[in-house]
Amino acid sequence: MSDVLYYVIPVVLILGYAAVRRRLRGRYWIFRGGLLDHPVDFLRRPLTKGLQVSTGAQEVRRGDEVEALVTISRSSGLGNVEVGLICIEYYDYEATRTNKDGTQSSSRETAEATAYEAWQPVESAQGVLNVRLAIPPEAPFSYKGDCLSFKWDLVVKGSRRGRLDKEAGHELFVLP
Amino acid sequence: MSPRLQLQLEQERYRPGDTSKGTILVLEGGHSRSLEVHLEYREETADYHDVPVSIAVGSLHEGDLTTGTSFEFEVTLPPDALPNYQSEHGELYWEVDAKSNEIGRDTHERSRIEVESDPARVTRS
Repeated sequence: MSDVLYYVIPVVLILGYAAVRRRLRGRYWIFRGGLLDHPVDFLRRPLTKGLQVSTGAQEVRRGDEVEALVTISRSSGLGNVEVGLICIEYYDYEATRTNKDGTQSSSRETAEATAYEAWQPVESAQGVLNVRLAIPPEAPFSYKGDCLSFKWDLVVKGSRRGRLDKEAGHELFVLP
Repeated sequence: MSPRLQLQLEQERYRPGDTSKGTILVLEGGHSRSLEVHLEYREETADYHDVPVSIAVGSLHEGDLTTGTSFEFEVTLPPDALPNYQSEHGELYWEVDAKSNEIGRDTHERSRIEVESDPARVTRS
């Protein structure tokens, strides 16, 4: 019995949280980013210890290269380390749902999708590494709009089988 | 009756700071309060859209429009104009919008233009 509860309780909590988040997301700021909106990212933060990434240039043009400075201060348990560029597209859509009384209601929601990503493996040894990453000329540029946005990040991650990846990021502004 | 318009542009591809020249032809005359042209940068998803940049050319004509008349205009893109971009879930693009301001629903004739990035001029906005 206790074994069943061990699995059932987390599932019920996750489904309950997802339902509450869906209902309240448009109304309360706490659901628009941060702990309640991206709980996995929040949990991942303490795991970034020992892994850092930065770049000298905060702005870079499409078609140019970014020089990433990867610092590994603790290599134990890192797994395979990769450094990469990710562009996330945020887009608004109209979500419709059926209410308990059978009527339909709609609300404006924001979804996200990966518009671009490219990863390069690096040696997972303690030290500082310089890695050059190219931004394709046809990739999106950084843009913050009303219903459509593109956000770039320079990311280093340590992939660990069966466990949450270690990950550290640095926002980048990509000019057209 | 609403007028029927046709929008003709001298070219379709531009760079930031370029001037777009065009003509509005009145194919069928009709009631109008004024004829205006806007150059707009639009963002669009499947369900929503917004116009973060709108540059007004001004009124080209006041009053009803007569069949066969034409109106020339020109409008300059900002030097820091962002380029067009199409993604999987949305699009950013420039468009010339000729509008006949009418009582009730306005008549629009729109034409997209392609704006490419100009690395020499672009700065962070």
